[in-house]
Amino acid sequence: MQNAGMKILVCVKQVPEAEAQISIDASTKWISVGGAAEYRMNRFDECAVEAAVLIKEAFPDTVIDVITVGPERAEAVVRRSMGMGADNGAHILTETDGYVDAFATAGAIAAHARNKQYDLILTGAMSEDLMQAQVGPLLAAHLEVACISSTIHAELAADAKKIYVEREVEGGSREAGNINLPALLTIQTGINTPRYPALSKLLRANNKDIAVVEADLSEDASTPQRLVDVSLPEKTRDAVFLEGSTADKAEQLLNILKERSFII
Amino acid sequence: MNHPIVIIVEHACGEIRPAAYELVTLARTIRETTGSEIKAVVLGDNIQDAAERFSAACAVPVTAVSDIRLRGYNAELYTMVLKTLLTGVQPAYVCVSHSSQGADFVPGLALHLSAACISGVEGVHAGEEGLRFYRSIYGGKIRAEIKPVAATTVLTLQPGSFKPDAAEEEAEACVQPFDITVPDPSFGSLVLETVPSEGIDLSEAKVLVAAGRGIGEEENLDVVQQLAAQFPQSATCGSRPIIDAGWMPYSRQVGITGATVAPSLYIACGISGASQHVSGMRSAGFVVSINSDPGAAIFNASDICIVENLSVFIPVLIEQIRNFHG
Ligand SMILES: Cc1cc2nc3c(=O)[nH]c(=O)nc-3n(C[C@H](O)[C@H](O)[C@H](O)COP(=O)(O)OP(=O)(O)OC[C@H]3O[C@@H](n4cnc5c(N)ncnc54)[C@H](O)[C@@H]3O)c2cc1C
Ligand SMILES: Nc1ncnc2c1ncn2[C@@H]1O[C@H](COP(=O)(O)O)[C@@H](O)[C@H]1O
Repeated sequence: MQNAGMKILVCVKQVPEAEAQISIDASTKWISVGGAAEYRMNRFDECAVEAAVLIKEAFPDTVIDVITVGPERAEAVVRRSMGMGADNGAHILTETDGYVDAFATAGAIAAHARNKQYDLILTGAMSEDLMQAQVGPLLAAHLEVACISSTIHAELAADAKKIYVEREVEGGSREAGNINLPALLTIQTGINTPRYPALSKLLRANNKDIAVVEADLSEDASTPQRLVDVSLPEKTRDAVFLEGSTADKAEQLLNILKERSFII
Repeated sequence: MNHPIVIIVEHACGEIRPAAYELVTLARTIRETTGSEIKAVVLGDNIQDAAERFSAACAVPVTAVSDIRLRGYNAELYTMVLKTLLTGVQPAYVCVSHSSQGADFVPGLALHLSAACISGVEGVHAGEEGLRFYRSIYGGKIRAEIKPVAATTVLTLQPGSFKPDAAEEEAEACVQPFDITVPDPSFGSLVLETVPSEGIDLSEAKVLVAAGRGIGEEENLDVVQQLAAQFPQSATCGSRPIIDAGWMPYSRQVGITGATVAPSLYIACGISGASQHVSGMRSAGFVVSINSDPGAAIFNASDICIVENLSVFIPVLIEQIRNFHG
């Protein structure tokens, strides 16, 4: 195998657990994440880091940089990525815990990545909190590289000049072909099973410096759209909550299912 | 007033995607506020017929860009063609489906047009300060309201959020060609590979019991299967993480990248209710959800909500059903 010396950038985001209590903060017109909130790496991004590490295993000269945009706590996902096998970390430190527009995030990452000659940039297909599916394609447009979204299979060619990709489209079908590098792939879950960070690598990562760049993205006035409010979604059905003990609820449900002839 | 609303019509080899008609509803909703004209654009190869059909059905003039290089979807070429075309049209709004295509090319296109970009739109709020758009965040727990502040706004519409609109009146097809030299793509191109559908056809089941990541471990699929077995004509299905983990075959995935189902009864076990899942089951007759998180978004799309640990609750429920059957 040829000595490829690939340079890969992976964008990783920290998000609250799906179970986190999310409530509306009327004073900031944003949300607050409740109580004993647990944060973790966006699942799509775990798959993106894994995809990068798999390439590094096949092409050992590969260097993997990871970058996150977020408040101080977001550093944890950079360390975790390094525990999974990434080499270097960077953190664009935002002052607030509040909302950051996708254009601001993509712009900040693009400014950081622009002159670093990445061969491959990986992002998740979507962040689980903001659910925009924008940062990856925007970043690719900024850097003027190809963008393959919802990538479900990726295989680097032996000369490391092209990458064979399959992207998921509706109905279980795929679009497949070779794309010239540099390129950006947004990674869909199911592409791989992300590994757990190795303790030895985590310890090493803890001794490594993470490049920190401060940026005040919450005040970015250049974005072409603004978040103006948040609210609870409308119910599309009755949403009747059953009350009582576990057995009470089971009994009520059984009666409802009988009334509706689902159980006869 | 002369900045139109432009619909980008998605099709598969000339067969117009149902979601394209939902865009007409969105465009008409926007028009109620802006009063602007609605136009549509179709890209493809030999696309005249499809363009005429759409134009007649929806009573909108269509611009058709026909080129052999546009036979299949190509992000680079779509972006290039639409950038040129839309720069000339100067639309106030561009409406695109939030599909694997739309979500792919829209952010880049918006950046090139210096336009606002709001993805996965689920609703429109027409207030005194103009139009704002609703989209889901935090797995559907919260709804964000976004205001565009650019001359052009590109929207991608979450499938199923608007009812498809038929024509307001009978119309003659009005199709205009748009001539543009389409180059070969420089990034490379992808070819569509249709995967023959195999496995179970979920549309035949009257009752679907769906497992989500909340089942925790593969072993817990047992109790989900046992619950399904209590109902005639039933089957189990899952959210994407269950299929990703290999615990169920792809044919059992429900959602935008899986099957769209409409059983009489849908029981969601440990599913958070992300719009990508809900899009696939919103037409179910009756929905019961079991989730340990009282704030789970799935409850908004449920008739009956049960806040319980599923591995405790489902065995109790099965026990009661068995007792009833004697
Ligand atoms: C392009 C694209 C396409 C997608 N297509 C699909 C699709 O077709 N189908 C699909 O499903 N998803 C799809 N997704 C993924 C989707 O966004 C969500 O990530 C996914 O639906 C989440 O699955 P889940 O609800 O099972 O898991 P999670 O969101 O992790 O939720 C797990 C839930 O289980 C609950 N829970 C945990 N423990 C218990 C317990 N013991 N008892 C009861 N409840 C418990 C939690 O409170 C939580 O609500 C797609 C995403 C993208 C970007
Ligand atoms: N704050 C962030 N820091 C680093 N990467 C991000 C951030 N926000 C989004 N991304 C990347 O962009 C992808 C898509 O996010 P989004 O556009 O928010 O749905 C994520 O999976 C990440 O890879």
